[in-house]
Amino acid sequence: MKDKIDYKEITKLIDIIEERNLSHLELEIEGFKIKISREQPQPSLSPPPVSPPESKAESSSPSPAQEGTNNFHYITAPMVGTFYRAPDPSSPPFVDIGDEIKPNQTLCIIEAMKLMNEIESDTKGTIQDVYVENGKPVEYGQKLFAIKPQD
Amino acid sequence: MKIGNKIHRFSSCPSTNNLARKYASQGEPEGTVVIADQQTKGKGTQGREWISPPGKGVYISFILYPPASGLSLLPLVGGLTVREAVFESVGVSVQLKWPNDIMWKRKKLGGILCESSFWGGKLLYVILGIGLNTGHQVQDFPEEVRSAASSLDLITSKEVQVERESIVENLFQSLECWYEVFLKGENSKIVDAFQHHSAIYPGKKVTVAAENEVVSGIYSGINPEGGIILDVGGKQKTFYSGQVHFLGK
Repeated sequence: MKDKIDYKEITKLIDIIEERNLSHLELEIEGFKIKISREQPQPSLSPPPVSPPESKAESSSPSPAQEGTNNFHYITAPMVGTFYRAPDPSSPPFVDIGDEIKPNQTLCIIEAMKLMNEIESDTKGTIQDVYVENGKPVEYGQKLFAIKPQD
Repeated sequence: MKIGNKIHRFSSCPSTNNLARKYASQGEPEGTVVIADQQTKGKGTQGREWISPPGKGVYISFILYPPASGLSLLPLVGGLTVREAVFESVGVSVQLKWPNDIMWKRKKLGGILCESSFWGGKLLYVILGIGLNTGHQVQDFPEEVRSAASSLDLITSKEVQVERESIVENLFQSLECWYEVFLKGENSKIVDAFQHHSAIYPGKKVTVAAENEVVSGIYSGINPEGGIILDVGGKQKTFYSGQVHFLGK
């Protein structure tokens, strides 16, 4: 085994990640360790302000956000922090894909500086998608859940 | 707004934070206080328990309705409030460890547990909870935390009377002042004061254990949003979550 990985080989690894549509690759060879990860959507490198500007906070309303042709309602991160799907490591997630949810039902916790922000649903519907993995950092405004509203 | 205008007092309750949340969702006014002599299920962060034996500590939660802007500075506001109230009551200047610990010589005296509730993107309320060890003797702590925990009674001289009521009164006044600073958006005042009373000094080697990574570096301060800045091999890295551990003496 040779003791170096060159640029060409790193490019090859990136190709593999793209071909296989992987989100994460970790490789360790005799003291050399490389971690490559790809996230969707790509988070910005510099953190935006920890909290939203006042006007934005006021304007957030329970009216469903629209994207494309679907009528999904999106729950977004109200602040920069760490996304938790359960109240503590030993508990099951608050909600999962396919779950029917009611208004005021807790969906997740976003933690920043040990401030635990519980995010409740502002609508009735079904969880269509969960965009972030447990324990991952989130940016302000990043999509967390897609909810199919129910009348 | 006046902190402590309305007080709900209990000899024992599961968790003052949980009760305060219930009161907040019922629309209790800002500054309302929930206080207990004992908590049977005192909450720490991440589902851990805050040991709250009867009459040995200050277990108190405040209902606040702040704007969402700069929200994550509230744990720091809580720390500054406790530090000031303890100084006024017993004359000891305790230290603050980012982001929510009250320390004395590397032993934990207390902590801040802030919990907020959002309805979709709208902030409903914040509960600022404080757990402060006042009368604990060594044997009051479970064996596994004895080397890492202390109380005001243990760190002050015998002549000093640690009176919980006086601390509570001073907490009301201090929170009134610091919350005002927060509402005015004077974030640099909060960050500067926190750094001034920080248990970690710039240049100190520390480790930050975040959810998915453990990073060692030199502590270089707190940024305007309250994040901790580490110098990691000449590069600055800021954390908004994680547990700080001291390295070396």
